[in-house]
Amino acid sequence: MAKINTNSNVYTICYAAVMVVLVAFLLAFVSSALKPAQDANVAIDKKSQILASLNVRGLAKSEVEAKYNELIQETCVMTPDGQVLEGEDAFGVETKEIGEKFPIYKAKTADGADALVLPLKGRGLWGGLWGYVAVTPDMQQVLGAFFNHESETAGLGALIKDEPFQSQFIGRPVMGADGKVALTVVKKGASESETQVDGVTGATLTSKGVGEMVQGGIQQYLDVMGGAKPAAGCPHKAAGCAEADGCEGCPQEAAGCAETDGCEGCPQEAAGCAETEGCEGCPQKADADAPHKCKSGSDCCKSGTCDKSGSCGKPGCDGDKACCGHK
Amino acid sequence: MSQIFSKANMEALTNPLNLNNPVLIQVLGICSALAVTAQLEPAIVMGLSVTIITAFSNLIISLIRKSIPNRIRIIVQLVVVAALVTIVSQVLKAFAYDVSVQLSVYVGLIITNCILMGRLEAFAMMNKPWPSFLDGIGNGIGYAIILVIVGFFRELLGAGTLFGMQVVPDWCYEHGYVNNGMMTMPAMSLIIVGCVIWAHRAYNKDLQ
Repeated sequence: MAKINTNSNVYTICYAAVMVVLVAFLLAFVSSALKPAQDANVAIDKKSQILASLNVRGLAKSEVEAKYNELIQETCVMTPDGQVLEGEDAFGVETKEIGEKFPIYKAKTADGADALVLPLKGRGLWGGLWGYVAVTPDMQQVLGAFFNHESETAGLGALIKDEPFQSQFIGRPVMGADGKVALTVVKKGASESETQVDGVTGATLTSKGVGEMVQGGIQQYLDVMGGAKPAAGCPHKAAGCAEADGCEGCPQEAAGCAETDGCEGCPQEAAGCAETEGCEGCPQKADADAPHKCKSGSDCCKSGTCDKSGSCGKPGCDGDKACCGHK
Repeated sequence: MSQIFSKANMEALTNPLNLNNPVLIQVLGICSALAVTAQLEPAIVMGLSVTIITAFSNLIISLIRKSIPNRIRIIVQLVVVAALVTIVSQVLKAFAYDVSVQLSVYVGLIITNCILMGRLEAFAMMNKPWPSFLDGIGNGIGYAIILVIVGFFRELLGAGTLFGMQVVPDWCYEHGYVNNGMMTMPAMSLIIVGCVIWAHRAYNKDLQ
């Protein structure tokens, strides 16, 4: 065998070219050959992340699909201006598209409570963050949360993907006193109210990223959903509304309910709305059918006003249980 | 058989564990010792990954060492390492998804680990495949040991846990014990590495 001069320019260039082409082909082959298996894994993983936000954790791979189908009832995708994209499945929306599209999952949590799962995306210290937050249908309280990250520091920022950090969110109120989303993450130990969750020690920027993602993300969903005022047509909102506190009249009542804690009138009204399945139509129907809606000002104890949707004027309902309950 | 486990080969395997430890003596791979040692588990995962990748890239480079043009040898080494890491992570993603999610954070750190390039350049380029393979395993494990030591102290003192389980009993906290938050900061890993080097030198007088 003739000895080749491995230092010649021609040899060097040829070697580099052949090597690059070979490696490129190898990588392309591996990538395309394994793609289907990887995609299946990614889908299962996404489902188990959504389930984690509903407090279903630690499922074996084979159980995820069945549990997902059991807990997720319906999904819809909304545009930033509040329209519903027909025929689109929320599951098909990728994380990077959030902000242009707003996927919403209507689901039940592990212990059977109704929930809306809102996918969120944000930025951490080194790379992207994403998460799923399960809230009550009136978006007043967090039922569960799951966060994950692309490349946060292992052992520090990466802790946001673990249960101890995420379970802090369970049961937290979403709204602050000013009616805006106040739920956020603060430095550990600096929490001043229920809406401030402890961050991860040593991972200030990642914690801040999660806080901004949660606060900004939920606020976006609220804005898209018209400040909890239902838009026509979205099955989600109609259904979400039904679970919550009625329809057109809901927001006020919901707020009233939240404040008085355990107001009687709300559940019934919700039920009345649920039957009509459709928010636009709900108020009228509630007017006619639901016994708990006010029909005239005299049904309202303090304010003496009754709006079209059958709810008492806000001043009267504020903090007034009897009025809210329509006794 | 006698050749496979000859004295020279065994030294290639065992020297990096102690007297020629990549972190303690050559002071390589410090950057990743900083990044992944806040807890024990990522430290072990990183140590294992580096061991496997160093061993196999050493093997591959050693196999083709005679054909590599001298002037672009670093690029060739880099391509081999990067391709290897990428393929391994792709295969894991398809068949062991959980492991791959765990490792995804480390892929970048593995490729840029100076121990890898150091061993390829210093050993695999001028030795036969089998000793090179052993040298890769030895250096990887030597690196992993230090990572585990640092991870152990940082997690124990910084968070009071090991492998995420609480080991400092509650009554300690009740009596005023506080976790040392400094330990979770990357800078502390350098100080611990420094202490380990100190102990190591004090023990091995001939290194002083």
